[in-house]
Amino acid sequence: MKYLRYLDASIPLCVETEEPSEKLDGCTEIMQKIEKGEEKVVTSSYTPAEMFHILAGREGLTASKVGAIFEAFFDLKGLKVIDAKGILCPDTVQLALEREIDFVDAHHVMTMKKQAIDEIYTLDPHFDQFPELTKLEKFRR
Amino acid sequence: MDEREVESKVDKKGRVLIPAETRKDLGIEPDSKVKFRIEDVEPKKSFVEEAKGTLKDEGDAVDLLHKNSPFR
Repeated sequence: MKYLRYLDASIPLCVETEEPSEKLDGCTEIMQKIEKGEEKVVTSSYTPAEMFHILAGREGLTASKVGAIFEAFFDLKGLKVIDAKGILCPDTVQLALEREIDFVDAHHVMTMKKQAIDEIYTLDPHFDQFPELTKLEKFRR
Repeated sequence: MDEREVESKVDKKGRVLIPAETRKDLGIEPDSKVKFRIEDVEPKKSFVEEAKGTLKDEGDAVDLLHKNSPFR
């Protein structure tokens, strides 16, 4: 199975927040396509970590609900979660400081380069400064 | 033979795991034959159905991600 695109946390989080509302339909379609295996994406373990940080302990969300969301996330047919490589961390720090982006975003960029992936499903403007990467906010065939 | 009620998830190849404690209690070993009586099937949960709107009124997805960022 070939994974051609990358996924960051902003797409599943948009389904959860329903904001930005103008992006919701696009993000929902991306997640549905991944769910059915009609789109195959890769992400690093930083993505569920970021989602967990936001979801866990949130008022009104029980542990069992958060567990159910993650169970469904890890069951997405077209999603492959790969290890966040420690060997990429020194260059990640340099990239994050140079471009003034978050460590996790910089690590995603490094991981994409390592995996020879140049398209990313994301709403995050931090990725705009990488012209070599194509940012996708809607499902593209 | 004792009856046990266990819940198990079906994997991509259609296999289910009998929990270790149940295997031990019932003396189930590799190549033992077991009879199943399936009483309930819970369909696979959809991520979109599970997740949709769970953080409604919490603001924009990217703002949430960048809340503690030094580079907002």
